[in-house]
Formats: sequence, structure tokens, C-alpha cells
Amino acid sequence: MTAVHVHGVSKSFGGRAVLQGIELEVASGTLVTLLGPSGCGKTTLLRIVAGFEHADRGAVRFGGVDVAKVPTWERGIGFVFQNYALWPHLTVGENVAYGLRLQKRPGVEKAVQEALARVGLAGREDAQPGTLSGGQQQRVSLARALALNPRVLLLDEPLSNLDASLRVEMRREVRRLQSELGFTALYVTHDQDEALEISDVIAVMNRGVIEQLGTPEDIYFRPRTEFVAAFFGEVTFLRGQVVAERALTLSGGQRVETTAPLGAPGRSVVLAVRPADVRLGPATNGGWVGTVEQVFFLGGRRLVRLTAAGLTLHAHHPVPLRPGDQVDVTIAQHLELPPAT
Amino acid sequence: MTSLGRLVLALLALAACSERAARSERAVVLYTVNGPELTGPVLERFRAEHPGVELQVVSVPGTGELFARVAAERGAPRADVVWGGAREAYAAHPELLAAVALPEDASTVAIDPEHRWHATDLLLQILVVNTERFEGQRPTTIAELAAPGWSGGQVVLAQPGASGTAFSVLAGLVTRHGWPLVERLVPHLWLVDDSASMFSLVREGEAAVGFMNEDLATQWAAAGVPLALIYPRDGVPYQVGCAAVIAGARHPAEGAALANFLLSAEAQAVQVREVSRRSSRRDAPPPAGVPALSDVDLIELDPALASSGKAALISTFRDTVLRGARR
Amino acid sequence: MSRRALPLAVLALLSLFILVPQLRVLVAAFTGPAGDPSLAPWQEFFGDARFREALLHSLWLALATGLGATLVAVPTAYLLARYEVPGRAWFLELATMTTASPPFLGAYAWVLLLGASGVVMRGLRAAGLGTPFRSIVGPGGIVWVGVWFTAASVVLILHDAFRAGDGSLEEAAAMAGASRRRTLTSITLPLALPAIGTGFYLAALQAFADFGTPKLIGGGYTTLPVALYYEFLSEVQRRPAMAAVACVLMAALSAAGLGFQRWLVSKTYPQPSTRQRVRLPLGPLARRLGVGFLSLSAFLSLVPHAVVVLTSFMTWRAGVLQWTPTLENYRRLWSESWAPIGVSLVLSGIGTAIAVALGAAAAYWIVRRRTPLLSALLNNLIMLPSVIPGTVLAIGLLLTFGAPPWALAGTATILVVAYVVRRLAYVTKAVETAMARVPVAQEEAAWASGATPPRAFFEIVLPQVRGALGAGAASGFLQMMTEVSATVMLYAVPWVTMTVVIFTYALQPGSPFGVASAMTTVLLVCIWVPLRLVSRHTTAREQRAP
Repeated sequence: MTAVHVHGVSKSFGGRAVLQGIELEVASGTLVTLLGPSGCGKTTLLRIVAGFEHADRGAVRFGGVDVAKVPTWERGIGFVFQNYALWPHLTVGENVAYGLRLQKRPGVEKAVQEALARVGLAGREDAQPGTLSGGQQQRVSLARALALNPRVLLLDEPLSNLDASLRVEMRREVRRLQSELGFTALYVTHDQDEALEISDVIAVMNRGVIEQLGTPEDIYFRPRTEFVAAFFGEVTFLRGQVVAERALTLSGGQRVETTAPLGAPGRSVVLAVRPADVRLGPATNGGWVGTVEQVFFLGGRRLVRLTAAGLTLHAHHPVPLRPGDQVDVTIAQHLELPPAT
Repeated sequence: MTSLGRLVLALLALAACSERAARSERAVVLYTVNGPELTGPVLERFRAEHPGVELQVVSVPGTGELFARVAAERGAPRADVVWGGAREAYAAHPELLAAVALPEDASTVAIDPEHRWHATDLLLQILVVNTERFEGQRPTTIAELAAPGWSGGQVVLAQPGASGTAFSVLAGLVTRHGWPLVERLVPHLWLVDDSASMFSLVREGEAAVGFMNEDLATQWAAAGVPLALIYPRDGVPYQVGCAAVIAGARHPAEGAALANFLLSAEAQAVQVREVSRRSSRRDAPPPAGVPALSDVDLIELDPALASSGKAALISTFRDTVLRGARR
Repeated sequence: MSRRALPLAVLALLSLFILVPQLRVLVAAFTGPAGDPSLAPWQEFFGDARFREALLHSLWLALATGLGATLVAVPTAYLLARYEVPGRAWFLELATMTTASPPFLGAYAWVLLLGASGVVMRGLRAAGLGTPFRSIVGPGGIVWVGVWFTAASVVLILHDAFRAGDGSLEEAAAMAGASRRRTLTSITLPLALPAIGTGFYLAALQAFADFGTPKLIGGGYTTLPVALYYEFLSEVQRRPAMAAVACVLMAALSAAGLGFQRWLVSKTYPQPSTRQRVRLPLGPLARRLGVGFLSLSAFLSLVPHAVVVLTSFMTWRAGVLQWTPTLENYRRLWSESWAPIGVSLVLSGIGTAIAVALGAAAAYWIVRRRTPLLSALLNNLIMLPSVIPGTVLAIGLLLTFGAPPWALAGTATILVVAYVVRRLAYVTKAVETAMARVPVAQEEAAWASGATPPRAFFEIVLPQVRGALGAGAASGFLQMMTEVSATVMLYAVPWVTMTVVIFTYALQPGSPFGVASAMTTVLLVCIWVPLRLVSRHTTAREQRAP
């Protein structure tokens, strides 16, 4: 069942189109992520669903009902903010209890205890928000939103203010809560790893449109546009014509061998190549030769930036290389993008 | 409507309510240019005699402000009685004052045939010198001050347009000596905005010579201020101080009772004793330490000049005499 | 109700009480005797030497007072902000207290001390010593009183400016080889220039608009506000069009000053601030000199207060001070003049409540800018009266609401309106700063939790700006309590305030000024109590950031 249906939503600020005809369905009990660089419109879309902003065109439906005339405070949502937005003049317990009291629900105290216990903060009701760490504050914020049993939980870059290791821990926590409680969530992030790990469905957004909508595997392994492919790491695009089952000629004339088959010769193709897909070997005559530009030590491996036939490529490589070294480049694996429409 | 809006509305309503409550009160209101040193003891006796009348006193700094206020409130007067300031100011505003014949009118030296103003005092504008400040031969006439060789320093006078006292001086001088003397006097004048400054500048020794109301000069001299009082031999301007009931007053009967009380022998005795101000009553002795009226050459004003000619007199002074002097 | 309805209603209300009266004054200034549009009032104004003189006098008083106050305030604030001076907190507290005094206080007290027959002058003469000048009365006295009346506020503004930044710019200059003096003139003072300009502007504006001081200590020195008062409130030869021209001129000149101040502030450079600025120690001699200087300026600022309190316990005879101690003044105050105390408290209280309610709402709309045009209009409208002298404001209100159908002349309502209009800007600005620090997300979080916007405003936003609201309320209250220039033009029975009584007594020679002194003392108590609360708030802030 569709919990939230965004239909044909457009929005512009001061003549600049921020969203253009967005179509999106969030199925009940799933976590859908809006992924994209800053300025792509993902936060605006989330705020329109929340009712903080209003769409110029199109509709947002909750359970099939248009909510255009329903203000935020009657939409029954939960919202988690990047900067937590805890109320500093209230205790942790009062923060969580606030919405429950407004709904005049019985057993507020118990609900607050449960909500805090769920996020690992049992017994911290009387703490002042300011005395908590960032991660703890975001847990309180999560508990505050979840305590209301929202129809949809909206999360706006909730982990961006946390440091890296905490971020990983927290996204597993969010995923755990989501699978335990089965709530519906719309999650905004610019972090591709976070999106891959946490989502049932990812919508990759760019310049106000959804470039691709799909499961994390779909998005990662079957990107439909260069933008989507490029979003997951240092990708090089090889444009050329297939000349043999495992070889193509780049537009510059350089012949490139691939390990995977390429299909019928004569076709024009665009291949996306990730660093893990590139193999480097000692320079031999006749191969595709590249020159090492720079080497980044990443701990378990090295990332090598090289130029070959006017292209910049990135490759993972286990052994040290020095800038200026000549290497043979082979493409062990590739993704083929569908022809541009 | 939000609670904030309600709060603002409630406060406005509160202000409006307290306003209405205050306006409907029974108090008889007196506007006066007299200070509490006189109003206090006089009205204390009035209150004792009329325990049923609630009285509210508003002090105003000058006659100009007093009548500006009464004129502004015309149609819905807030005051019932005005007290203080010269007969000429009263005569200039017959439309603001009620015609009420008071039992005590007959005892006074000056009687308005229309019974709009009622004389309460005689206020002489004498010359004073500050004895600490003034050096040389003290003047005995006004003509000396206007003489080309005058060397006694600047003579303080308020703008006749702003001060009733200064107007009285000007009108007296013009009546007795004519404009030429005024023109000769102007270069020696230190003109200030109000009578209070005119008086206090001499008191403080800021100026050596000035015109001053006789009662105030007498009190200050008694309080130790180094002042010498001079009754010019070539004429002393004076005013008949008045009280009146406001036309359309909300408490006409009580107002008339109050005005009548101000003329009574009892109130006048207090006035003479407390502030050394001459009584308007024929039967009252002068205050202690001041000469008898028979020994003073008072300048009687031309009644037309004093009332209807007032504006013309002031603009002649301001526009012709002053500008001429500046040039 | 639409979310714009309430702000629009407030905008309309403020337009009615702020904009319409000023437009009315503007129209009056361009209306000839026959009611036709005309430049005649302007020709008459500038053709009259008295007015030209008043205008020049007022301008020079403003500049001289601004300059004097700045010259006093810069070293004072610099010492307090940058150096470890003994009794620093105490000096700041005193400065805060002096900012709250009735404007006429200084004039009266200084005449008593330094007038031709003032206590100090008499003493000097009796001791056989000469006096450096014969009397303080005159334009010099107006400037002297104005400087000590305004210096404290300028000190507080400059103190904050000199505390800004963490000193890294000065350290960099020192490392680059600049001497201390060179660092001061090439780094520190230029950085503080916008604040110095603001202080100068505030002091000059105060002097330009002041009505009581020139009247009490000017010795007939004509100034524009005084000339205006007489053009409007004297019984003979009233020329309202003249008054209107004077009003327009005063407002325009004040606005030009504000333009200059804005321009200076726009030149502000952000200063790096990664740590608290450390106060430097002073050498033994500098320490002694510094404390001496601070004590002297604090003493001179507080002289008027001390004089008025002292004389309230002395006998007065026919308006002449006799050096005999007595409690008579307070007895008479209690038996005769207690009503004005109540009137002042009630009117200022109501005015403060309305100003706080409106100010909080307006600050919210201005900060949140949900409808940018409305926010901008509201902001400008609220700021407008801060450049309009009290006398001018009062005349506008009288011209607009004096006659039927409003007939508000002489009502408590018009006084409260004047108070609210004059002080709304201060309350709003105080709250605005605090409100801007409450993230929008906190409100949105409340909406998402099911709270309507008004509820979120009251339960989430307001509790977080309580401190600023209290500070705004206290300063608004004390400014309303000490308001003179608009009140004397607007009041009528029975709404006689303490300031009106004090002012009238001060202008009636022979009146018992002891009672007025006693009332001024009561007034000082009335305004120092709320001020204590505010300064406790600011002192607490100071202590948190030592």
C-alpha cells in the first residue's frame, strides 16, 4: 500500500526551478531515501511532504488523500532534523512528551520511557538536551518523532552533523528500528554509503528531477545515467565503438581491451569504470599505457590517479607506484549505461 | 484569534475602561499657574469648608499654556475653574469663560461687568537687581535702563508672546512711555522664553537686573536671596490676577463656589501671608514689607490695548522692534 | 484565519499610530494660511531669524554633545573592555544605572552646583578662590549636562565593541612590529569606528531632541524643540504650520544622522573570535590613573542623582534651598501628590505590556520573514519613531487624533499610544536579537509534533527569549517612566504623570522644589528596581564570559 504519493510536484524559488514534476511513491513500511548532491531539491521535496513548504504544482497524498489543505500539525508526521532541533528549555523527557501531551494521549509517561529505551537512552528523562552528546541528541530527536507513531517519518540529513564512526553506528540503529517497528520513512541524505546501507528504495535526485528510482542494488549495479553512476565513486566514462567482442576504440582512436564481453561490434557504447574495475600491470608494448599522476594511500589499498589517452582514470592497486611510472591498463569489469534518450 | 492578539485587546480595553472610570469621577478640576506654595494652604481651607467636594489641582507652568489647554479642550472641558494669570488674558477669551456673578465680586477693586473674570490679586512687575551681581548705582526708573549709556548689564525679560508677565511689562511701557523707549530698551534686553527663566536668572545671579513679580521678589528676598526691590519712579506695570469658571464646566455650582472662595477674605488673607501677594480686596492690608499702593505709581493700561490689541502689540514687538534691533 | 491576517492587522494599527500622524505633520508643513498647498510656512520659518538661530543652535548642541560624549566614552570603554581594572564590574553597573535617569535631572542639579549662585561657586568665592567661569547656565551648560547624561549609554555600546574579537588582529599587528599606540590607532580604533559612530549618533540625537535640559539650563538659549513647544502651546500667536516645519526639519535631520550611522555600520568588518579576549594587566601607575579617570567620570555622571536625593531631604523656602535637613518634602509628597506616582506606574505599566506584546510579535515576524515584504514594512515602521523627537511625535498625534471623531487629546490612551510608539523599537530590537538565535527548525519540530504555530510560538519560542523580553520590558518601562517631551504636550487631567509634576515645579519659580526632588527620588527608585533586574541579567552574562 502506498503511504505517501508525490505526484507531479514542481516548485521554484524566485524564478529558479527547484523541483520539476517529481513522481514518487513511498510504500507502507519501507524506507525510501532521497539521495543527491546539495542543491538537488531533495530537502525541498521532504519539506513539501512535511507541509513546511507548498508545491507550486502537483499533489502530495497521504494514504490516497490530498494533503494540500492539511497543515503540518495535522499531518501526523514525525520529523528528524539535521541539527536535532531539540527544545533547550525542556528536559529530554518533556521533549519526547510534548507531542503526546498535545494529542492528549493517556499514559504519556510510559510512552516516553519506552521511546527513550528504544533508542538506548532509558532513564535519561530529566537530562537537559544541552548536556547530551550529538549522537544522544539525535537519538532523543528520533525518539521524539517515533513516540507519536507517525504515518511517515521524515528525516532530513539526520546524521550529517555526527562524526564518521558515529554516523555508521547510527545508520545501523535507524535501520534496526525501522525493521523492528516497521514504520514508513522518507530519508534525505547526500551520503551514498548511508543510502545504500539503509534504504529499501533509493531515489537519486539531480537538479530538481529524480534521475533514477530503484533498490540499492539497481542503483549501484545498473545506473541508468552518467550522473547516477558517477555518484558512487571516482568513475571514468569510456565512450567509443565496439570493434571486437572484448575491445573498443575510444573516440580519440585508442583501442581498449575489456575482460567482460561487449556484444556486437559496431555499436556505440558508454562504459562506466570504477577504480576497483581497473587493473594495472607493468608496461608492455601494445597495451593501453597510462602515466601515474598521483597516489593516495588509503590504508588497505592505494588509489592511483593516472592519465591514459587523454582520460583521467582511478584504479585501486595493492603495491606502491610513483608519479611518472608507466603502467598497462586493463578493464576487468565495467557497467554499460543505456543509450541516452 | 491568537492569545497574543487577545492580550493586546485586553490591555487596550483595560486602558479604555480605566479612562472612562477616571473621566466620570466627581472631582472638581482646577487649572492654575500658581504653585503649590499658594494652592496648598488655600485649598486646604476650601476642602475643610466643603468636605463634599472632591478637588483636583493641575499646575501649568504659564498663562500661555493654561489658556492653550483650556482652548484645546473647548467643547469638552476638563477643568471647572482656572486661577492665576492676568485679567487681559481672561478678557481675551470670553468664549471660554462662564459669566457668573459671585457674591464676593463686590469686595474687589476690579470688577468685570460681564462677570467672566474675578479679580484675585494685584501683581506688580517691579525691577529687581541681584545685589551680589550688580555693581554701581542702582536704577530708580525704567528710563535709565533704556538710556544709551546704560552700563548695568543686560535686563532680563521674557518674550511677551510667551509670558503674561512680560506682556504686562511691555504693555505698561508702551502705554506710559510709547514705542520709542521700548526701541531704545531692546538692545539692553536679555530675552528668554518664559517668565520662570526671567525670574530665576536674576535670582541665581546669572543676570544683574530684571523684571519680577513683586510677590516672588518679596519672598525670595525674605528667604535670603540677595535681591533689591525697585519700584520705578516712572511707573510700575501691574496686572490684575484673576480666576474664572470655565464655560460648559461639568461642575458649575461647585466651580462657582470655589471661585468665590478664592476671593473671600479668608483665602485672600492666606495669599497675603503665605506668598506676599497683594489682595484684590479693598478691605485687605498689603503684605508685610511692601509699600502701600498709594506710594507706587501704577501704570493703568488702556483696556483696548490690553485685550484686543494684545496680538498686535506682540507682533509689533517681535516683527518690528526686535528685527529692527537685530539689523 | 490566514497566517497573514494578524501581522497585517498589527501593520495597519502601527501605520495608523506611527505613519499617519507623521504624514499629517508633513502635510501641515506644506499648507498655507488658507489651507492651500504652499511653501509659505518654509519661507516664514527661514525668514525668521529666531528660527534660523534655533536650528543652528540645536545642530551645534547635537554635534558638541556627541563629540563630548564620545571623547569621554572611548577611553572609559577601552579601559573597561581591555584591561584588568579594579572594580570593573562595579563601574559597568554604575554606567547602566546612569543610563536611566530623567532627562531634566542633570540640568537642575548642575545649576544648583555650578550656577552663578550655585553651591560650589559660592564655596569657591567664599574661600577667596576665583571661579573658572561665572555660571554654567548657557549653551556650555547644555552640552556639559548632555555629555554626562549620554556618556554612560555610549560607554555600554563601545564596551561591547571593544570586547568583540579575540585580539588576534592586535597580536598580529604587534608581531608585525607595530607599537602599542600604533596598534591602537591603526587596528583597534578603526575596528570600533562603527560603534563609535553609533554612540556619537545616539548622543547627538538625544541632545538634538532634548527639551527639558535647554529649558532649564540654557538661560534663554533658543533651541528647536523649545521653540517648537512655544509655537504649539503658547496662547497667543500660535503658528502650527511653523511648528510643523520645525517638526519636519527635526525628523529629517535625525534621519540624515541615522543614514550616516547606518553607512558607518555597513563598514563593519567581522572580527575573528575563536577564544575569549583576555584582559591585560595594568602597571601600578597606569592602574592608578585608570581608576582615577573612571572614578571621576562615574562621579560626574552620578552627581545629578546625588544632588536630587540630597536636596529632597532639605528644606526649601519659596523655591530657595535652605540647608536644613527635613522629611517634610516626603510628608507633603505623600499627602498631596501621590496620584501622579500611580498614574506614571499605571500608564507606563500598560504601555510596557502593550510594547512587549507587540514587540515580541513584531520581532517574530521580522526575524522569520515568512512574508518578506510584510517583514520589511513592519521593521521600517517600528524603527521610524526612533528618529522622531518626542515633541514632534506628540504634535503628530495631536494633529491626527486630537479632534473628533477620535478626540483622544488629553486621554490616557494618547499617552499610552505615545509611549508605546516611542519605545516599541527598543523592545522589538532587544527581542529580535534573541529570537534570531532560536532556530526555525525548533518551531518546525513543534509543528511536526502537532502544535499549531501560535502554540509553538508561546511554548517553544517565547520561553527561550524570556531574558531579552524582560530586559526589553524593563528598559521600555523606565524610558516611559522618565518620558518628558511628548508627555508635557499630551497630558491632561487626571493623567498627570510624575515627570509632568516635576517639570512643572522646576519651571515655577517659588514652587517647593523639595517636593519635586522627593518625587524625582521616588521616580529614580521606580526605575532602578526594574533596572537592577536587567543589569543582574547582564552581569550574569558578564560573569559567564569572564
